[in-house]
Amino acid sequence: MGFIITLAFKNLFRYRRRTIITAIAIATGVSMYIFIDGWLQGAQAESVRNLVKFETGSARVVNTTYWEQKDFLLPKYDIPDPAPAEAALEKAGYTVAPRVTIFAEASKTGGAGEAFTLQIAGIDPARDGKIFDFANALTPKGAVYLTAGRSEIMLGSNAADRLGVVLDDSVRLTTRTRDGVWTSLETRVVAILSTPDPIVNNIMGFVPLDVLQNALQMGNGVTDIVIGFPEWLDPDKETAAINALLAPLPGSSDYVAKSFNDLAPEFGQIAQSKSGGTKIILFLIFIIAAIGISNTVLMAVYERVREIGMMRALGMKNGAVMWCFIVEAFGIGLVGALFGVILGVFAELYMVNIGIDLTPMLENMGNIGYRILGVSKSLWNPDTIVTAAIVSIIFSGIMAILPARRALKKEITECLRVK
Amino acid sequence: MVKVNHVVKNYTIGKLEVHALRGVDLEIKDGEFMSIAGPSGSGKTTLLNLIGCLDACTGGDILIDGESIGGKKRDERALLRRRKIGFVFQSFNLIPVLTAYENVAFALSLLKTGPGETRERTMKILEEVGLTGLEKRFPNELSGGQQQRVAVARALVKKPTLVLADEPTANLDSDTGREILKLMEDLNRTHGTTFVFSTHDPMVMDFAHRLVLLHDGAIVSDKAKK
Ligand SMILES: Nc1ncnc2c1ncn2[C@@H]1O[C@H](COP(=O)(O)OP(=O)(O)OP(=O)(O)O)[C@@H](O)[C@H]1O
Ligand SMILES: [Mg+2]
Repeated sequence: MGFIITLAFKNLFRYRRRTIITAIAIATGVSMYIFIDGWLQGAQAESVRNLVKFETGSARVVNTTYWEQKDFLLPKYDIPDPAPAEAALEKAGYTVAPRVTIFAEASKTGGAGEAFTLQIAGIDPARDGKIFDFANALTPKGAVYLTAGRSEIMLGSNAADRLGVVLDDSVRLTTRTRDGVWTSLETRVVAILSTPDPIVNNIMGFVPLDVLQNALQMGNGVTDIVIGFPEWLDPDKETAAINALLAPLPGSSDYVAKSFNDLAPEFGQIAQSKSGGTKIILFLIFIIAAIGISNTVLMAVYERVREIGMMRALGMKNGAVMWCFIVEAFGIGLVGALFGVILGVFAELYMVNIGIDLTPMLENMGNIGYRILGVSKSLWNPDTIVTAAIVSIIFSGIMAILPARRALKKEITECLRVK
Repeated sequence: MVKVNHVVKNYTIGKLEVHALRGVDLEIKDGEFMSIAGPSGSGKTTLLNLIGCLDACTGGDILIDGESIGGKKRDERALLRRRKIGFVFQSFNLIPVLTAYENVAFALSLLKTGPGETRERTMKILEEVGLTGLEKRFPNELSGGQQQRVAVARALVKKPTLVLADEPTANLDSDTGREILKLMEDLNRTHGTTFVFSTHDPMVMDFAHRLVLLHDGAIVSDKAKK
């Protein structure tokens, strides 16, 4: 084996150019895979962060029927007295913020513009900001956060555009009360929200909780108790714990806690199809590497037919001759993987620390499932780096078997006759 | 000792049968320095390939040291060649990426000789073939004659029973060819190794101690000369 490795190494060095070209093909594949995977993981993490910080919170407690009919967001299926649940959750260390979320027709007051259906959330200005991050998304200059008791609205940026409203314009919201009676609410725009979450930007508006409760005649009732917990906690485990925590409370059979995974189910599906995408990339990369390696080994085999004949004549077994080529391919794979990892890590170093500003592109694409806007960064993916390196090396070796077998099929006497 | 018992070798090219050897009987004693001569197409290479376990007979049998090679499997034949047979080729067939030293040591690596012994035996045989000082040269840095000396060293370093050389001088000019033959003759004398070489060059035949003449796949004469 020592001899085989020496010989393989020397042959790799002798056919430097070919070795380098094939290794570059493999390196390109490996680094591309590392880069794309890291980027998607980064986008995914950022996306989850934005989803939680702008759209869903970490989890929510909702009325069971409200949840079953969540396409309608009906305020009559509320949690009439959220106080005991809130107290229990806060005692357990969670951050909580009550909300009323409904649909309403919105239009510019006095304007001839169209009406649009928006999702309107009544939020408690004192507590909502402990979970959500809208305070950092207020535009334009002069915009302010909601004040309790005042008939004000913060509108998602695209929603505001569609309604044709700017700061200080009036927006009329029309919806049904808790009891199903039509009502309308005049609000003044105090802020336009430009968030990394396209859903918020496109279809959401926020008014003070007490104002909305009043308009809908809900008393102290809320539709959601939004819960915040640190992002490193498993959302589903935590949600199960919350359900257990609420179980002893009176009336708890009417409501249920849901994690952000449940609150934005389409989000998980998209994440899955994206990982399907990386598998296709991985497959393509392997095809390229496979063609590169087998072609290189095939050329080596043809060039060295007589040499192979001589080695077999001198008593080298076919298996050992095969290993000569496999080890050589391993070597190319090793060089390729090494350069690929270096290249991939450097690209990732940039993408993890600096990232790329995707704002202009994503704004034009609407809702692509990812809750990202602004600078997109990668996440380190050591698992992927190690896997990509090992797989490409082993795979390279395997790809040598077929071409090497062709050389061994030939009789020794024929190999020796080749001029 | 090698015994060739009524060996027949046919090749089939499409529907055509070529009778390369038509019943050859031959006995090669240990320590012989023998040439197989004959015109082109007479079957010299075919016969050497069969004796060297590189190819299988169509009929008859060959015994090396009393052992029949006919029924052997592929890997068994490889092991037999590895231990007992040295080859010298017309076109040298050195591994271009290895030095003279490494090319010779290759034969020992197959026998899994330890590093100390490998070094000692390789250096000694390289000295015997007159290549001291050129051990680190690559084949393309050596003349044809020097390359063939490396090949002779590679064949002999494992102390084989038999060295087979198919037209070992055909790629060399006559002076160099003579030197190689002289070298093989010396090694035959000092090591007692059996040499069988093929040629159609009368000068080369002159060196042989025994000359077997092949014609059209059959032995037509077999003469001891010295
Ligand atoms: N692989 C093969 N397939 C078909 N015919 C073959 C094959 N090898 C040799 N022959 C034929 O067998 C006969 C003997 O060939 P061989 O190569 O043994 O001759 P040779 O004496 O070595 O000739 P040369 O002096 O030209 O090397 C020739 O007719 C040749 O055409
Ligand atoms: Mg011949």
